[in-house]
Amino acid sequence: MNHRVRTVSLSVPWSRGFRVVVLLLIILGTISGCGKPVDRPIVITFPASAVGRVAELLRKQLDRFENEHPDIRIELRRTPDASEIQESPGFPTGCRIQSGNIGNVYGGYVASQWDSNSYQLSVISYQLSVISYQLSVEGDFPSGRFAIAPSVCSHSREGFSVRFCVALGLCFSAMPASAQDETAGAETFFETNIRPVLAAKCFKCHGTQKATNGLRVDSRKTLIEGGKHGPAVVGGDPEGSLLIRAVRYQDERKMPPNERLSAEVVADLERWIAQGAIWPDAAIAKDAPDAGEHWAFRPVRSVKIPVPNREDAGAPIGPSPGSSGCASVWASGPVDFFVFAKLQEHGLNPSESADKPTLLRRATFDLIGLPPMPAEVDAFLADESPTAFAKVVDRLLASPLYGQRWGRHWLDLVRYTDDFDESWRYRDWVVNAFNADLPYDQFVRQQIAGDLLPTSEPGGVHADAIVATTVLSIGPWTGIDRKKRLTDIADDQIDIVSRSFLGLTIACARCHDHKFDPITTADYYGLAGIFLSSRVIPDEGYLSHGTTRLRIPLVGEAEVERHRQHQARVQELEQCVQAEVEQHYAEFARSLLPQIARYLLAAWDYQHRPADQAPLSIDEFTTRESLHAFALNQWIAYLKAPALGEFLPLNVPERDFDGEPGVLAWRVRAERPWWAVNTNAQEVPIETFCLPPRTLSINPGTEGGAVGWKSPLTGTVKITGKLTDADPLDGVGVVWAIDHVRNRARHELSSGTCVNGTVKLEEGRTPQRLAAVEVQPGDEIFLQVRLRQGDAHYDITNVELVITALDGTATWDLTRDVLDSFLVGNPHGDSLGNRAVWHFDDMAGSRRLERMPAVDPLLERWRTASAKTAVADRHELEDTAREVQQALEGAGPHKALVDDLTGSRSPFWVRARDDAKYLSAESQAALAQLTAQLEALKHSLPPLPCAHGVLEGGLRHGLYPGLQDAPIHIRGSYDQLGTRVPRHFPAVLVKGDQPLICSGSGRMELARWLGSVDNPLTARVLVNRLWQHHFGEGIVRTPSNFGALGERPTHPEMLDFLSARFVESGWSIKAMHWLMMLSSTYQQSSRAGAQSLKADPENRLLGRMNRQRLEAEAIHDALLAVAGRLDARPGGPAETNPMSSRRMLYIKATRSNRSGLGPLFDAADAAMHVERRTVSTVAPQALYLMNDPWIADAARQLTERPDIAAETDPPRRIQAMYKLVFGRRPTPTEVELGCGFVERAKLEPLQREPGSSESGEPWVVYTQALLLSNEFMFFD
Amino acid sequence: MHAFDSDRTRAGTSRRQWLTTCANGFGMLGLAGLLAEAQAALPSDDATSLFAPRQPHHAPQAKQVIFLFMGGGPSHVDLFDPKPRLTADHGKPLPFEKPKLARTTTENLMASPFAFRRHGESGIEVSELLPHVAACVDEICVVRSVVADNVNHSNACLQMHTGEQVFSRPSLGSWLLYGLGSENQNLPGFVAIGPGGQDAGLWGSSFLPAAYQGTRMDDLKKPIANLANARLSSAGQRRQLDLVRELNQQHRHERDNDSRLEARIASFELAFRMQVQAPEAFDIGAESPAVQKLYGLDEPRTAAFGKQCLLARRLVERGVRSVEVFSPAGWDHHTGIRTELPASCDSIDRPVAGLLTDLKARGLLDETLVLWGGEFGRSPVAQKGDGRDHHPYGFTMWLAGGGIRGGLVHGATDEFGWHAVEDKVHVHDLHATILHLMGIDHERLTYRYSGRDYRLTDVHGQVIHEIIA
Repeated sequence: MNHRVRTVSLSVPWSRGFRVVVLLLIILGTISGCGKPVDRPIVITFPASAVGRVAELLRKQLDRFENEHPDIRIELRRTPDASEIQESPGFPTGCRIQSGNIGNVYGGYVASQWDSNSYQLSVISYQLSVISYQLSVEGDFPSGRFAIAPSVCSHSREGFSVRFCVALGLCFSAMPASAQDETAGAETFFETNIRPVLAAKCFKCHGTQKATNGLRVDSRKTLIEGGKHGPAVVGGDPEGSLLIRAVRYQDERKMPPNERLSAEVVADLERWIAQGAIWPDAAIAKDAPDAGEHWAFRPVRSVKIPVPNREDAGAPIGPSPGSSGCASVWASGPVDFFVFAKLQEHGLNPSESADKPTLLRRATFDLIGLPPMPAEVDAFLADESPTAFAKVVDRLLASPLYGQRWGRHWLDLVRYTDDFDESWRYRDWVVNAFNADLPYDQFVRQQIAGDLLPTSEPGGVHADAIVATTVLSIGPWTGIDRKKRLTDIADDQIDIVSRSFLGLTIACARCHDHKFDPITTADYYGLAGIFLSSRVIPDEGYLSHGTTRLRIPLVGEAEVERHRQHQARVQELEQCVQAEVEQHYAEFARSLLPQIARYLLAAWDYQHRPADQAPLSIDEFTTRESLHAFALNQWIAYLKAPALGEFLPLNVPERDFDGEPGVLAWRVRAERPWWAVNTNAQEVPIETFCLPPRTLSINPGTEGGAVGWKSPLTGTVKITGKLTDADPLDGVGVVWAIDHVRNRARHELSSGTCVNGTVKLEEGRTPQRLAAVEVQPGDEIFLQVRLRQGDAHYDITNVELVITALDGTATWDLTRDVLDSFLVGNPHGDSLGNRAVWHFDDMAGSRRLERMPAVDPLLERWRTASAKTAVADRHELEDTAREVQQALEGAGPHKALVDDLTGSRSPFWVRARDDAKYLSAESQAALAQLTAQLEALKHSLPPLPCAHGVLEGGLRHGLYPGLQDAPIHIRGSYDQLGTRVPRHFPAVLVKGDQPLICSGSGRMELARWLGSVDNPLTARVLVNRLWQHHFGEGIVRTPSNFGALGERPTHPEMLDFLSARFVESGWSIKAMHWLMMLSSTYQQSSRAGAQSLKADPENRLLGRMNRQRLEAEAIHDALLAVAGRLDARPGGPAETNPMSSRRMLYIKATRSNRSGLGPLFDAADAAMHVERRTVSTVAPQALYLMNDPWIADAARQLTERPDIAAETDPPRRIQAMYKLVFGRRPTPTEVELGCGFVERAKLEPLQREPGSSESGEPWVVYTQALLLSNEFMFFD
Repeated sequence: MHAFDSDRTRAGTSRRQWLTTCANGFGMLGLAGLLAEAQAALPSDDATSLFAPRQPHHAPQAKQVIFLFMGGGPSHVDLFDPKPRLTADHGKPLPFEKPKLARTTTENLMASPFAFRRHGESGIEVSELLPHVAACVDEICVVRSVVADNVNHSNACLQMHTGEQVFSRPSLGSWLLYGLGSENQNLPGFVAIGPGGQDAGLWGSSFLPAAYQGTRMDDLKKPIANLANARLSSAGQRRQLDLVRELNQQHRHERDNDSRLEARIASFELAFRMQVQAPEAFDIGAESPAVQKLYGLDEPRTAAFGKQCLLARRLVERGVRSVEVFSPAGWDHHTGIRTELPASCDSIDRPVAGLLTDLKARGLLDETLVLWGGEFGRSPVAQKGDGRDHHPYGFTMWLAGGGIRGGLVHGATDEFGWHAVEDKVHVHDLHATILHLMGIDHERLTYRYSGRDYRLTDVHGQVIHEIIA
């Protein structure tokens, strides 16, 4: 099947405000229907939203057109839906329209015929994701009215292969002359009698600078919409118009306030409104700098392709050979008419076409970032058909390498970095999006709100779209001030979104209204509210130092649940293993108890070893003595430990703690521990934690806090209770220990940890010891709580503690006993009437550590004896050691010490993994088996695939939890708040049509608005970026600043034409590549004539192609490619080996490393938005290329390629090299030069050590010279 | 017209000589082809050169800067800011609210365990830990009232180097290179010596052309990468480059309008020359034993920093615009003020004094601005017993040479050494002053990036005229 497609542009004045342009894609069947009149009607399709408003006026235009062309019938229809299109006659069989894409169907679906020259028109309108254009003029067109910019479109797409030939630009001269006459009078009246008055008397308070009472009178639209008091103007009704009432000084609102307008002026205004308040669209369409509003903020205009001057047509304008002074001959696409017209204005001509090798090299680097390979060069040179270049572009666009090249351009904008585990998924998403030609509106939407887009199946996950939101989460923010960090995150997001998508620097308005663009701080915080109502870090990230990113699962809930269960099983097994391990350790410790005397003496001996043995290491010493080194080490420390300091009672009572009524506390100073009770029946949230109703909590501070129970009875008690982390998002968890103290002797009963959850005291290390504790009056039981790690300084923990007499006579419930009378005193009595039973202590200075040795009279005896024994009296110590051992073997009275010495505080306890080798063989085997089992379980399920990204709802503990508007931060400071601003988009861009944000953060609405035609910037900015990469410079040369400080477009009409076309093509980036690359403008030579250089040194008129230096990635990849070792595998986690042969895109790039080839050749700084690479030329680059072994290796590999090595004849080898490296044939001089160099090198060696040279070396040096040359580094 | 005498011979090669010997007489080391914006900011007689010396805004008092960076934050109350009240109130709580961003435990006030003595004619008090620096105190202006905005190392370091705490901005050295160019085209214009694991943003050029980023020199034996070719003899490489030049001449035929091509040809010639000349600049062994000893190269504890300082001198002597020397000793003394601070001081005391003495002896001190300090100071209260925490609210840095009034104390902290209370000097003020001394108006050194003019001092900064001679 082969078609010709023709686009017809109808320009229709609408609503007296602006023009609506409907572009028709008409496909001309050149085969089947040629010459045969067909009588089906033309059907024009346009967005459904425009039907009601445009239909009538369009109808008029079409009537006129039909009158002039009686043989054409045109019928208006609404946009068909997918099934209608699919069933339509022109739709290729076997193709389906993807549901959801119908919104992108513009233009097209027309089935019909145009007659007078016997063309069959069959029209089609599904999503054209790839459209290509090329020259093709067929037949005679109706004369006069049409500018013809004919093209050929070839289209290929998975599933079917159709080639369409698209011709462009039948521009109907839209406005009928008589209609123009009608309105001309009204326009003149407005311009002479109305606008000057409004400008002089009203704009100051109701214009761009200020809109008092919400009213602006600088456009018809804003007048009709009105302000706080309602519409100012009702078209055709002066009496009903507030404006008239105000200028008449009729009501209390008298305008202008200081100076009543003259009766004539008032009468003019009345007449103007009576006639419909005509506000000529010319004022909007005109691109004059002082037209009131900045060009970029106006809607994209429909632009007519400039019609070449009839008189000039066909007449050569310039002398340059090969190039034509005739637009219709030179031009291959619509852009050429714009470029040509501008050149013509300046009396310049385009340059001649580039030769084929140059064009191929240009297009190949441009689209895939690599040089063309010899076979490709041969194929292109051999193809003499007019579509040869189109085929090349087609091939390159279809290559997966294309996305790797153009994806990188996008990554430059969004400060992409491999610093985060999952960021590669976003990189791959971008590459795939380019390769699949994901419509740009969807590309935008997914990045802003991919998590909110509907999924293809209920309950499914739109994994790709979630990955797309990674862009919002990889900012470079850090910092300890968590509130500022939150606002920095939002700032980074606003900056990236506004610069990348809108080409605006909205982040400037963080502290003050934008100095140059009409962006206010209110606009900034309107956007900030949207981003602050979303989150990219987990809640705990806010509380910690906060560089962690969210990890959002990319699989369904069922799969996540499977992982959760798996994780729970792993944890369960881990706990089992831990318990099992401890049992083995305890057994081992018990087995060493009979050696305690030996260890006591050995510890003393080692510390008192004679001078000649001083260098003896503990390993050598223990080997000699047949002891375990780790145990002896631990014994030395254990015995050395100083006596414990006392706990100090907290002595500062505090009511309404932290300003919360009903919260009472005992404390000392800020960071010391405090104990607090919440006596309220409701929970009390304070900062990051929450005190549950009627509970007792401790903040252990930096050194820990304790609660003590002083026994009033003789008997046996049981200890129960639990700890709950009240602050699960912060802190590192706590360790706890319960000690029993009698007469200053202190033994641990049990201990454990509590991290983010609840633990029962019965779940500690030695629960059995809590079950029955014998106490005497005056004995104390301490529950001590300390932070797990030293550098944290708080982790609030709720505490319950119950001590029960086993005989059932009494129960002490800490909470019950103290809650309602907490501040009566410290110590505090119990509910049985005993005084001073409970006390709350500060552990600071007590040096009570988790693994403190027991304080036991028996050990004290040894400590005292060993301390005062002289070396000469060592034998006395032997007796003491024996006594200690005997006492312990006697069990009974020293049970507590035995418990200690077989528990986790024991010096015999295995702590380091290495020391486990001392365990019995059976124990080791059992533990190894357990570990293996655990590892097997862990690896039985691959890790859950996750992406960094964004979720709805501000951080729970952040400045603005959930969904809410943000207040203005005065001078950007979060602690100086102004008024709250409703979440909205910059007013200057939406012109009053603020989308309602009813539910959610507003990201969905933002995403829709960014990716819509209502937004004047999105399409323009992207089209300009595409242009910039193809041509080296954008149409706007400040690609991320379309604001007042940015540059003006060199070709404003062309920019708008392309933007409109971009939208019509279904936001197809590949269609834009076609349009740009198949133009004659793109295919010009980069060698400029003197006239062009002189008149236009910066090439703003595009009278030649810009030569471009390869970007860092292209240098890297091209070297690998010509060396024959490019590894073009796509995707996956970043390659950590910098010497890898993969494309540079895939080699890990971090923010902290700015060394290596990338930064040397101006690669993008991963910490910032890079709108355009600088191109520096510095000596270190030359040093790198001259001396880095990597380059020499590439040169060697190149010479060793089979296709090069096979050429043994030097001239032929040089020819092969030139084709490979430069994509062209060498000149005879170049061949001679190369042969001469190699010949001479054989006679006069180049190497440092000539003897070691290989025969191939001269060729390697020659090859490297080719790689060093300018021709390799630039493309024309 | 340059304010700097760019033809002066300093290290054997003058710029003019170089111009005439370079291929095609094309005198530039670097070139950014698309630098229209950059050139708009500072007029230059060589509109395409990245590194050519450029005319300053006003007569400069310093021509180059050496920043001795004590990463981690040296303790001001133990080194340059004696506080009798701290000694008197040792062990008492801080008598006022600590700032909201204090990181950890606020323990009690801790007296400096070190004695201060007056030195020099100026009688400025310096701690006993820095006896050699103290001997140079009449050259030094001690600023005791520096204020920074962040208590985190990474953010505070960024601010000290770029003015901005979070986002990527060009570093001081990059701004200087952009504003003034360099006087030696055979060496990098901005060098970071021994930064180790520090964030590359500290010497990064951010949105300025990448060529303005600091050249990192960690391995002093091989300071610049790829300075030698392992395979080719010098003559062999010359022949290879001659071939490249031939190829490039062929290529330039019909492309002679493109100055970038010519610049690249020149860059190879320059690189070839650098191979010969740069190693000489790095050859510390060429210094006399007396000079080596002056920098403490004779003792292991001072040798590392001594070599860095000596290299810094050799570089500024050869016209390198900006050198930053990173102290290999740590200054983040959360513990061990008593034991570890003396060791850190010891490692830099002789080298720093040696640098000042040597610069002065060579007549270079007048034109070389030396800056010493960290990203913040340390808290007057104790941490973990005998340590001190980060402290940006008032701390000491000092400057010497290049237009600085020596023997002066500027600004003061309160009687505990906590808040800067007199003549506060914000980091932006410090930057403004450094630029001023180099002949640059900090409000006029701007770079247009993405449609906005950026400067080192953002919208802040006051030149501290009191400390300028």
